[in-house]
Amino acid sequence: MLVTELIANDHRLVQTLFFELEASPSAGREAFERLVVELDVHAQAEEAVFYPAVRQASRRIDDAEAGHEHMRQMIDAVRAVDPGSREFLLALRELKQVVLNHAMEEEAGIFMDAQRLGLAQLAELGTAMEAEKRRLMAAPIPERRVA
Amino acid sequence: MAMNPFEERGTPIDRQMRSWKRVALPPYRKQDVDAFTRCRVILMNGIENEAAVFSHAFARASDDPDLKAQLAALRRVEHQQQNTINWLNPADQSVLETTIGFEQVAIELTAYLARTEPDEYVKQAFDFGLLEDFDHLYRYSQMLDLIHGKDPNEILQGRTDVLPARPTQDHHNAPFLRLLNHYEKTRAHPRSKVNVLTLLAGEQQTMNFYKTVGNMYGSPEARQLYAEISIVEEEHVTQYESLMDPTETWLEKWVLHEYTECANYYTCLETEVDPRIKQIWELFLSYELEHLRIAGEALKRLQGTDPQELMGREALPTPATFEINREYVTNVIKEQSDLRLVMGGKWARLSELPDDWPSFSYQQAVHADGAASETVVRLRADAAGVELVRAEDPTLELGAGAHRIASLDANPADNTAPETYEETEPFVRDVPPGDHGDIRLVNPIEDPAGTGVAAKTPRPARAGKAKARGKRGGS
Repeated sequence: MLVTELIANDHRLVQTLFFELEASPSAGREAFERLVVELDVHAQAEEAVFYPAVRQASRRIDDAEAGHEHMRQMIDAVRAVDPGSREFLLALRELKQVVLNHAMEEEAGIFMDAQRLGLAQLAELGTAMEAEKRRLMAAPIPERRVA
Repeated sequence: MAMNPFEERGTPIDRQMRSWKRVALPPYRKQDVDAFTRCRVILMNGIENEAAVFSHAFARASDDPDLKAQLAALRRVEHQQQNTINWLNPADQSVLETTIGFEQVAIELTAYLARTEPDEYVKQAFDFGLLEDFDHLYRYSQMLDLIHGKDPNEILQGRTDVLPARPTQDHHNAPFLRLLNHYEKTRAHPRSKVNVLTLLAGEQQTMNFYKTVGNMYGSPEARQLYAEISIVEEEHVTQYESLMDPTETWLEKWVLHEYTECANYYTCLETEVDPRIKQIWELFLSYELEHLRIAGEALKRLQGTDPQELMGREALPTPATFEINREYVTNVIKEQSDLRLVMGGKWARLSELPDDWPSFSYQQAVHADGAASETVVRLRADAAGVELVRAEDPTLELGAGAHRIASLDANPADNTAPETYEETEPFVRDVPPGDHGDIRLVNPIEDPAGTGVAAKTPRPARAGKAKARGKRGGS
């Protein structure tokens, strides 16, 4: 799978998780933490595999990394409020917007730049990022940056 | 004049929709409007049009329903703003009169922005476009005289000269040559960003206007002139948008748009001489301050970027400043009429152009039946004995023909107007006026080779022609 396809699939997955969580907020903290694992593993794998490779072809990587930092701060902000409260829903909605905005910038900008690497390298990166995601999923929690 | 739009409070967004009566306000009187008030009206219509174009593009890229809802709400308001502004142009102002107004905007706006532009490369791009719009004014002025018998100074009020600059027939470039080098978003001065976006908005609306109204005259020469110049405006939009850093994020672009709108309305408010229209600028500035606050908040929340950091803390720029730039423009005409675009977003003198300059073949295609911008000069010279020129400095009027010829590239159109009327051969129409058996109506299916032979064969007798028309109509 091309790395761009893998990333786009991840984006769609977290988008669905957000919608589900918003629809049944009673799922609360536990469902939120499942979402956080997806976001965190995705972001870390991107930072380890995709961003370093595509940096030579794109001037948007600094912005993308800053976007991840902003997302991590927002995750902390959601965690800080009581899952049953109205504040939780509002903070969750804001986090969703942050993630959707980041995904849009990545797909409309970085993906276009990444085409310069050629299909063969994008496929190699896809394999590498998949492996990195598997490793992170299996890794002990401290290795994850926000979990 | 100093204002920090991030510290001002505007009208709350839920109080920005107006009744139809308040949207469609009475127009100005063309007989006594100040020329620069008309310029402000024309520019701000373009600014609002760009706001709509951008907002739609942003909404189409976004998958965020909340953000799309915000953009949709702002678009409603800005749609009404654009209606109000554009419809200040009165119904009795002819298409060509309004066109002269559009070119006055293009000239005086570009000149002011070039004069105040901190980036040398961007300034050069502005100077280059300036000379093209300046020449368009001269070409359209011939047509205004021919069709309406009016002097362009009824619109320009003597503030802008009417002279040839870089000849319009040479404004047609191979498309990729118009791609210039963009500024770097982290290093560019915020004023450069505002200047580029303002000019882009103005040129884009000029393109849209010509593209839309070029059919409003029956004269084939007028239609072809609008066709020729409207596509140069397309080149200008391509040129100016290529100056923008493509890595600006959508949210950054949104803030830049709202900030630019604030800067332009603020300039209009500060410089307006018509008290009624001044109230409109004031109202819309208060709307835009709120739009900027909303966009800035989105940038901060969704991207973690402070909008004021993005736009800098210097005083708000004043892009919509309309004043007389005659000296500056005259100087650019003198020094840069012979510049042309070459590869890599650079410029070269006519003497440096290679024989295989890509725009030569492009110009041969579009001027295959002559350049409409030359036809109009010939027609005016035929009608009045001289081409129409208006300059404060009479020596510039006397030297107009010589400048026009000296500024041509090595590939002039076959119908290029001679330097003076003494040399003019009467303009020969392909067919008598009112007879439409010319090339415009040759169906390409009947002449698949595109040789134009069908148009050049002797015209059939009346009866046969009626039959041929009937056949086309029935197919």
